[in-house]
Amino acid sequence: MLFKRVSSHRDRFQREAQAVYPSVYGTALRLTRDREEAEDLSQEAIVRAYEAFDRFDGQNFKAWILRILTNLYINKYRRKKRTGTTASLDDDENLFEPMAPAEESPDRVMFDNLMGAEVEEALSRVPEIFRTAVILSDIEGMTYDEIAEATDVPVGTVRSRIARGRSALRAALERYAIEQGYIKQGTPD
Amino acid sequence: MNDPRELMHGLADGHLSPEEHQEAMRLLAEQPELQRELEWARTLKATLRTSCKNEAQDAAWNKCIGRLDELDRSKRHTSFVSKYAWALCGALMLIIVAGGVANRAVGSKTLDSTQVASLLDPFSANSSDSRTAMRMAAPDLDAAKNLNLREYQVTSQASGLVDGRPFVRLGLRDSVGLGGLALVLIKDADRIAGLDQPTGHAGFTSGKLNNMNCVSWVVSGHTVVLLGERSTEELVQMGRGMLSR
Repeated sequence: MLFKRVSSHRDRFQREAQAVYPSVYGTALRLTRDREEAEDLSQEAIVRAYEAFDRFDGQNFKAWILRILTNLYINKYRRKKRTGTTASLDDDENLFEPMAPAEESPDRVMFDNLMGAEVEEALSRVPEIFRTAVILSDIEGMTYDEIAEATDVPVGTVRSRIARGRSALRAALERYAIEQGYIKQGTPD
Repeated sequence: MNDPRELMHGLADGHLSPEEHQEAMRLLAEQPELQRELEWARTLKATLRTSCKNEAQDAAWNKCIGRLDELDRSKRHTSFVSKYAWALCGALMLIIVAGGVANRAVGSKTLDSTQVASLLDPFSANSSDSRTAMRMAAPDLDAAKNLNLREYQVTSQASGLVDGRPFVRLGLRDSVGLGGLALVLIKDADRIAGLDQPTGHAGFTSGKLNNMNCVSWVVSGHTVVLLGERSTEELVQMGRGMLSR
C-alpha cells in the first residue's frame, strides 16, 4: 500500500519533471554559465521539487519548478555575495543604455542572422539579476507575476529589470555585431 | 509615475494594466521615439525566443532519476522503521526474554566457576567433627553424607544457596595437619563451566579457582569441588579417598 502510494506519487512527478527538465537545465545553465554547476543546480531543484510535490497546487508545474530553481540560485548567489566574490549589480544605473536614437531601429536581418550561440554569449554578459528576469520572461515565457513570485520582488521591479536586461542585451549584441563587422560603430547597417 | 521605457517593454510583453496600457498609448503618440524602444523590445524578445533553445539533457536527467531513486529508498526505509518501530522493539524484547529463558533452561544444571569462586570467602573459624558439620550445614545433601571425610578435620563450615541451589562449604585440614583445603558440594549441578578440563582420571575434571588447583566430580546429581594448595594429582587422590567407604 505504502509502496504503491510512493510509486504513484513518483510517477506523476517524474512525468511532469521530465517534460520541463530541458527548461530547468537550460535556465540553470544560463544563470550559472557553467555546465557542472548547472547540472548540480538543476538536480537540486528536481530533488527539492520532489520533496515538496505534495504542496504543488497543480496549476503551472514549469513556473513552480523554475521558481524553486531561481530561489536556490538566488540563495547561492547571495551567499557568494556575502563572502565578497560577487559585486552588487542591482543599483548600477549606468547599465541602462541611453534611449535609442530616432534613426536607430533594430536591424531585423542582422538579428535573424545571429546564431543561437552568439545570442547566448551576449545574454551571458548581461548582469545577473537582469539576466534572470529576461530568461524567465523571454525564453521560458513566464508572466510578470510568476517572475515576481520566483524572484521575490514586486511586479514593478520585474518590469524594470526586464527593460534593463533587454537594454544590456541589446548593447552586448551590438558590440558583438561591431566586433564581427556586421555593422559599423555608430551607423546601423 | 511609470518610466516610459519600462512601459514600452511592458507593452511588448502584454503585461500592462488597462490604465498603464492607456498611458503607454498616450506616450507613444506624444513621443514617437518611444516607438523605437517598443520595436527593440519586440525584436529582442523574438530573438531570444527563437535563438535560445532548450535541448534535451538525457545524461543530466538520468542523474536526477538516480537521486530520486535514492530518496525513495531512504523514504521507504524510514517509513518502514517508524511505522513498525513498536513491533521491532517488541520482537527484540521477546528475543531477549526467550534467549534468557532458553539459556536458563538449557544450562539449568550448569554453574559458572565464578559463582563457585564466590563461595570461597574466608571460612568461619568453627571447628568440629566432619560428619556433624555436614549434618548441621546441609541435612538435605545426601551425597555429602556418603563422602568419607574421616581423615580430615573440619576447620570451618558454611551453607546457603548459589544460583538457587543448596550448597555446603567446608574448610578441611588433612591427617598430617596441613590446612588450606576446601570442599564444596552443590546440589542439582552436574557441570561447572571452567572446571571441566580432563585430569586423566575417569570421573574427575580439573581447573583453577582463586589461583588454586581444584578437581571436581559428580555424585548422585551433586557436584563436589575440592580445592587447595596441592597439585591436581594430589587432589584427585584425596577425592578418590573421599569416595571410598
